[in-house]
Amino acid sequence: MQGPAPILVAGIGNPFMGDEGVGPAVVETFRGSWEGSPLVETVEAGTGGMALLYIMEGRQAAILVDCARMGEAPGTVRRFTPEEARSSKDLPGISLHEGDLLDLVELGRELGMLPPRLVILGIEPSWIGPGGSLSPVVREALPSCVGCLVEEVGAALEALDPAAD
Amino acid sequence: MGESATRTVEIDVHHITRVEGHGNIVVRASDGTIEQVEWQVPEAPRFFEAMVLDQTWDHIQTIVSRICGICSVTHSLASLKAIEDAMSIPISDQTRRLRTLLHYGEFVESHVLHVGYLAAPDLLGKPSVVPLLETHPDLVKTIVRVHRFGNEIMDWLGGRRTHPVTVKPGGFSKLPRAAELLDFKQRFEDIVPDLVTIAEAIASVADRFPDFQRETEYIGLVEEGEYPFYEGQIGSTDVDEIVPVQEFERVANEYVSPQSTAKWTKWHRDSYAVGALARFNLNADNLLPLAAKTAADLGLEKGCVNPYMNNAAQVVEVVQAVEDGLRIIEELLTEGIAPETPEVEPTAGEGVGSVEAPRGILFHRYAFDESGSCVKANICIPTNQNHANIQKDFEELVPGYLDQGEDELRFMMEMLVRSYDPCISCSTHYLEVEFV
Repeated sequence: MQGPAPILVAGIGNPFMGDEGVGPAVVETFRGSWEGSPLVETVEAGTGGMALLYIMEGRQAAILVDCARMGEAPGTVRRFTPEEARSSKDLPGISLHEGDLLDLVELGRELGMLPPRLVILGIEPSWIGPGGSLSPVVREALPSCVGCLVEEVGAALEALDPAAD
Repeated sequence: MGESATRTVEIDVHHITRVEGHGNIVVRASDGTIEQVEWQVPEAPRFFEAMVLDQTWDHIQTIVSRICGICSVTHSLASLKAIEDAMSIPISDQTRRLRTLLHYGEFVESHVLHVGYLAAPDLLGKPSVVPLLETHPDLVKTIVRVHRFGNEIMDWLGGRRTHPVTVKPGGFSKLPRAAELLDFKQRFEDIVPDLVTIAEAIASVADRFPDFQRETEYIGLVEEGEYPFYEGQIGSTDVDEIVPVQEFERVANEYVSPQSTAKWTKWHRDSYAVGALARFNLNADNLLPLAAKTAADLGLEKGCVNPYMNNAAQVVEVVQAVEDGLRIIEELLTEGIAPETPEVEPTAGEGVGSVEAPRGILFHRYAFDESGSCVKANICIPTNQNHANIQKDFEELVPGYLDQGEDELRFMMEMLVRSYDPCISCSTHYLEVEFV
């Protein structure tokens, strides 16, 4: 197999900012509980912004696990594609440090760098702020988040196109 | 529109996120009289300092690398230097060179992102980089290619694209192989034409940088004969005195401004500036040939006091980083990579580490007890050092643009802030969405 593994699982967020770190926590738990496959690469993508485009490029599928304010009960996990959501973040456009995953996805699409299959697993936070641990309600939701991720990886594996290498 | 109508403005660019604040721009003027001009920074307290307390010396870098998604290498290097200073840990020339190369990776990716994503749309009259793809596709693709190159240097030497894992107090946990050095030597050479393309594109619109001048004190690292990013002592364009980094508090003079929860700084004037333009003004004589030529092509001269030209200085620094990076790789190839493993016995002590971050000089100070636990932390970031200067720029800029109307004035002020690219609200990147 040339190039990167066809399926990417990326946990996005900062493990030192409460529930903001749920993405990396879900991916780490998934990694520890799963037998692994050369077809799937798991990455803790942190808050690196643009670098995610290069990590996604050349794959058949990417599953991005991220903390998301969606108006749901804390700990709720929702699966959606970028087309199914729009950002309601109020960003002034004065700094590169204003991260928005959906903006990044739009740019990636324009540049032709996105995998054909791109799914976001959003997890509603209870608390975001300085501190290295998840809130109790989000911690309790970890198994169900990992369950959703396992399902999503399974679906991505089934959808793999063997001809696409 | 009558004069009194155009000279009455009410600008309030106000954005508050739930965790950390963004910068707010507030202007109030009535009938030509300016009542309020403020750069407000409701930044969260510096909680990372509290977070490293009681952590052991070998965990500090991992934590502080998360302060910023863009400047994770610089925070890492400043923390390592502070720990090494506190515990008298020696590092080899090889480590120094490899750290500098890694550091250059971050400068390339951060600067080219800033120039390409914030400055170029302003100069080319576009609201963001996405519409720029329609009108200037080759330029955007070149910018992405150079950004990726910087990112790959960080991946190669830091072990990851952000938040590096190979850098340790005393050295590296993983060293590059000769074949990798050869590969990157080629990549450094191959990227030069792309840098020239970007520099030419910016030079072709350099006359669109607003012509705004304000006498300013510029502060940054200085080192005899060098254009330093990783090493040096503190210099100022106002005085000849060179201050050891261990005495950085004497330069930064942090104080609390009523309009901000972020600490502001000043030295010989009411404010000072740090960043690419500061470094250029202090060290332009020591630029390598292609970087010096790039500065000339961009019309950037030592002594420039136009803050909008910070973006031009960033283009120059990307070239400098690649030119010097190539020199370092050639040295490493000639001398060979020596196997070495960092071995540290923690001791009690206090130390300071300073490096240039893309946005300006960065200071970390830590103290450790006998077991190597952190008992004191002070992190002074470049963005905070620029806040007072942005305020002073605003105060001088606004009267000159009051007649231009709210939209133009607001654009000028936002573009000014963008030229500094303040690092605010960057330790969290969560989504906030509604479903369609």
